Amino acid sequence: MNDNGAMQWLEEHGDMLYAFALRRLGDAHMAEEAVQNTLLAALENVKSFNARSGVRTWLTGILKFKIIDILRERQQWHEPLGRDELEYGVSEDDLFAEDGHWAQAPVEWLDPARLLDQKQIRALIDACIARLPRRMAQLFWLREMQEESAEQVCHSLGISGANLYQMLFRARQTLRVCLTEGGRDGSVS
Amino acid sequence: MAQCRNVTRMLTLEKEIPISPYRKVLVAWHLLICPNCRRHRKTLQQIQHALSQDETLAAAENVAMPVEVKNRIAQSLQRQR
Repeated sequence: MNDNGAMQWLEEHGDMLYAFALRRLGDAHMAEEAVQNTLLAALENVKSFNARSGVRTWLTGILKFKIIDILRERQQWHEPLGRDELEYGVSEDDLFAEDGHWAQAPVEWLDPARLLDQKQIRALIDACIARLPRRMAQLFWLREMQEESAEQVCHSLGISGANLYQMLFRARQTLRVCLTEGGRDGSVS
Repeated sequence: MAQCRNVTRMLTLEKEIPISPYRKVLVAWHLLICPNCRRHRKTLQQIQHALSQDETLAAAENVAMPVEVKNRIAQSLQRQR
């Protein structure tokens, strides 16, 4: 593969890669860097390309690692997590009464009377994630991409397992509650 | 032991902390009798499903890379020659 090949990747898949990176990084400069690093790495490692999986899948796979690199290096994880991050959003104590039963019963998210298409669902999810503290949202995306185990994430970011679990629990439950509220009254969409 | 609170914690962190086979049985039993936890799990699954569609959907999205970004990346690819 020569330079023209890389130009063709940029032309054909650039928008998709950029959208994918922008969603996870939430920052246009970092998204640009991730896409650029991806195409440069692809150019260097073109032998690793497996024609059966397709160019798009191959490039997306590389992009995930480039996004993880950026999330790791640029987000100042050496600064300790603050209470405003660790204790943001919905906790177990908020959800449950003392006897261990639901304090507020969960409601259906996707109301059958209000059909949402995939795009609207994405917009709702993005709006809810955008409300999370930055590093909480990034931990959420790091685990969604699932390229690294929870142990690896803790090790590479220097955070404890207890803090990771607490923030993931809160991120996911806060997202769920935000969606059920937005899905019901449409306030988020 | 299979209270709503424990079940919710296990299901929310399932990807990080796998549920043991013994506990899976308890969770399944609890879900049979608890409509709240069934609704809760359903929403978690719907979110998971929506997020897993991301790669295909990113392609169909209207987000276009700004022209100047595309030009900068193109230049850096050419420098790599």
